[in-house]
Amino acid sequence: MKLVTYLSSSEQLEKLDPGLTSDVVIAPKSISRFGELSWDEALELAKESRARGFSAVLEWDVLQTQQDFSNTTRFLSQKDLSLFTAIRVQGPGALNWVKENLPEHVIQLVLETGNHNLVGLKRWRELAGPKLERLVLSLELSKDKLARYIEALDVPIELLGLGRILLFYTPRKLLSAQFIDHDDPETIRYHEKPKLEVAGSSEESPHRGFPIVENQHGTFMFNTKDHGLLENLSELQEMGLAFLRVDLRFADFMLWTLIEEFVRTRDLEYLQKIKTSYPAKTIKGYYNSNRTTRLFPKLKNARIQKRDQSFAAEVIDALKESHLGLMAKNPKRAVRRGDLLKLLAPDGREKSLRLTVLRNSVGEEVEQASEGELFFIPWVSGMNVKSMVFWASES
Amino acid sequence: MTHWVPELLAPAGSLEKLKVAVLYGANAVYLGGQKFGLRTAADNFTLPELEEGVSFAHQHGSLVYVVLNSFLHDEDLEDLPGFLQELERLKVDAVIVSDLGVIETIKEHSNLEIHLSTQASCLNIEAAKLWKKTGVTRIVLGREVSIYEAAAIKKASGLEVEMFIHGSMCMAYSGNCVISNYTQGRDSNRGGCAHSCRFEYSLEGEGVNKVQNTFMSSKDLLGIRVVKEFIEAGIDSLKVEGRMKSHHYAGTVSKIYSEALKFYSQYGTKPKDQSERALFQERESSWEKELEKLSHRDYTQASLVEKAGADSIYDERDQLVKDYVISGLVLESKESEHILVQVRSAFRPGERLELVPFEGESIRFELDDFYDLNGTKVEKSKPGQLVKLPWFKEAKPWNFIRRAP
Repeated sequence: MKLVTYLSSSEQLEKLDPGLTSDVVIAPKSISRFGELSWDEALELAKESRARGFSAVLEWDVLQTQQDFSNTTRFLSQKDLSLFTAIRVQGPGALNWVKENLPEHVIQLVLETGNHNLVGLKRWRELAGPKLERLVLSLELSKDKLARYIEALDVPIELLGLGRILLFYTPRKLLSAQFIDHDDPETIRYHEKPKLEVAGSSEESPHRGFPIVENQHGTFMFNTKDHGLLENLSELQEMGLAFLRVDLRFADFMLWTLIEEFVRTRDLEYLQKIKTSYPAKTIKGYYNSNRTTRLFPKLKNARIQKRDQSFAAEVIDALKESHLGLMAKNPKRAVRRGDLLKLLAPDGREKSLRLTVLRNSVGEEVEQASEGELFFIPWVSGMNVKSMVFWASES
Repeated sequence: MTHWVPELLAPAGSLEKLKVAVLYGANAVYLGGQKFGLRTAADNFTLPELEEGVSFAHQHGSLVYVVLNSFLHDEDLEDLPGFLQELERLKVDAVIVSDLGVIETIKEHSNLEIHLSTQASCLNIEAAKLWKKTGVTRIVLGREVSIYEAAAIKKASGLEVEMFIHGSMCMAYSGNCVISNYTQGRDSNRGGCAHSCRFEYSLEGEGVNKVQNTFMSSKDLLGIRVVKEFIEAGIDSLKVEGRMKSHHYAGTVSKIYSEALKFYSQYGTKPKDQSERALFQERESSWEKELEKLSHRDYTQASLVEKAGADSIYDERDQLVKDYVISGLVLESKESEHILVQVRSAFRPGERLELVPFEGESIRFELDDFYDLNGTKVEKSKPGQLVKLPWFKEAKPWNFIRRAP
């Protein structure tokens, strides 16, 4: 397993051990979400990286609508990209364009957003074609799935090992709108900086201090804790993970030396030092398990959920000691006199009854009510509006 | 002579809302089954309801699209083939999908037509070309795409193009927000979105004064003023957001946008003379006024014409609740006897109400005495109650009645 990192200066490059790191990701600010390099700086770094034996990977991960996308492709068409070994893309538009227009480059495809099933991942691999060199997978995959995918995909896999977790990405500029005072030249000057970063907290969320960044590509919000899998290094290596990315763009690159030492020696003292020096607490996220649908059943009152075949009607009117007004709801079966019904109130109370009389809205007795029709039955204590009515089993 | 206009695609959060949307003029509706969609907390359709919904919509000349737009995990895919067979049996007109694994599963197990969901954030021609290779026939473009860009995408890709024209909006690129996953333990891309973007946040940082704001909350989309541009660009389908919203909403947006489309179908998008220009202005203004009567956040055209700017941020926590509230829903019209109304907000005899028919002007009336189901005169109705109002011929089941200002 090799390390991958972002590079923003020659000084950083000097710290890298080619024995541990294979690729350096170079992020020009014009096409990378958090890139801070001018195009010339990016080319220079690519040149230096290659000279030192690293693969220089050009990152193109901004999402763009047609007009901006077209400007980007026009720009890239005019540039000499031969210093870059691979192009790292996120977004199907960039993938398709690189495939068709840069056939000499291999592709690293970032599938970190969604893409949580093997069928889909295999299809992405096919769509990317023979130039696909690597897939970057989602942080939301558990280790069991990750191991299975690594085995099944037959293409090298990369995963984030340490770095911020991106929660939200919009092209709209949301921060400067909050802070710019157009009457104050000092404030305007401050906000003309290429990047604005604040911490956001909400009383409606138990988490405090979400890092939020605004730059030329929009606004990005990160999790309060970063992703950290360094202590699972051996496990990841055993499952066949090819590349582990360490993203220090929002930390001090001095940490790199400690990270290499830890990777080299697996000495836990280095890991402890990394944890102490790293600017944020880290979590393993969904690495052990992903149970993000566990709470879904609680989002609805189970007592008023419909059931396919036995769901007969819903109480829409209840007048104490007088009547219940119901609307028949089952398109397949009418509610008929003589039916045995079970009524279920939102508070959980249940009543059963044999339907001896149904009336319409003018008080006439009717034999049945079909889907969409109203009918009225004598009042049933404990039942109220939103109570659900089911056919009960005769046995 | 009639001019070409796009399809109007309305949300159907329940079977009743489907009927309301279709009767008020939607050419197509989209809805979710009990699984695989992004609105876990919504009513959603059981299979019998779906069957009835498809039958009802088809009888009225409308199409039905079913959302399967979650980013599914392997284990979620296991139940999908059976559901697809049901959808095919019920003759739904298309499914709306965002995950490539779901697309592949659909192709393997059915012949259903596939529309790419906005969740996939398709933003440009190259992306559309790639998605075309996967077998989708229509793309619901990301809300960041302008009408002008959408026309170019349609032309270059040869795919049908659908765009949102009205309703609430994600601030993030759709499918690119996982706030709920990490803060609430609920997968936003499998139906568990907690709407954290609507929360109020305090923001603090170096060199800035602390502010408190709903800085991630977007205003609601209003596209009524650019329906002409959608038509001229050849956009195939205009979509209204809002499966979780009320009958009033489903009916009003369906009615107003379908009226607008019928109008442009009759007159074209360019007024021919001064009198038509005045007519256009009068109609556009009246449609906008009607849409103002719905509860909504402040409106914006977002990125339909030019990129959404700072003025598209909604700086309130809650939606505006309009005075123009729905008073009730007509459930039954018993000729010469009564109309049976389910009360949504209280009203009394003597109040001025208006019935919103499926087509045409609202009918204002002063409410006479009215009665409950036992024939007892009602002094003040209660929400949820059924009451009998004097019969009049224009009132039809699923019309809504609202308080006239």
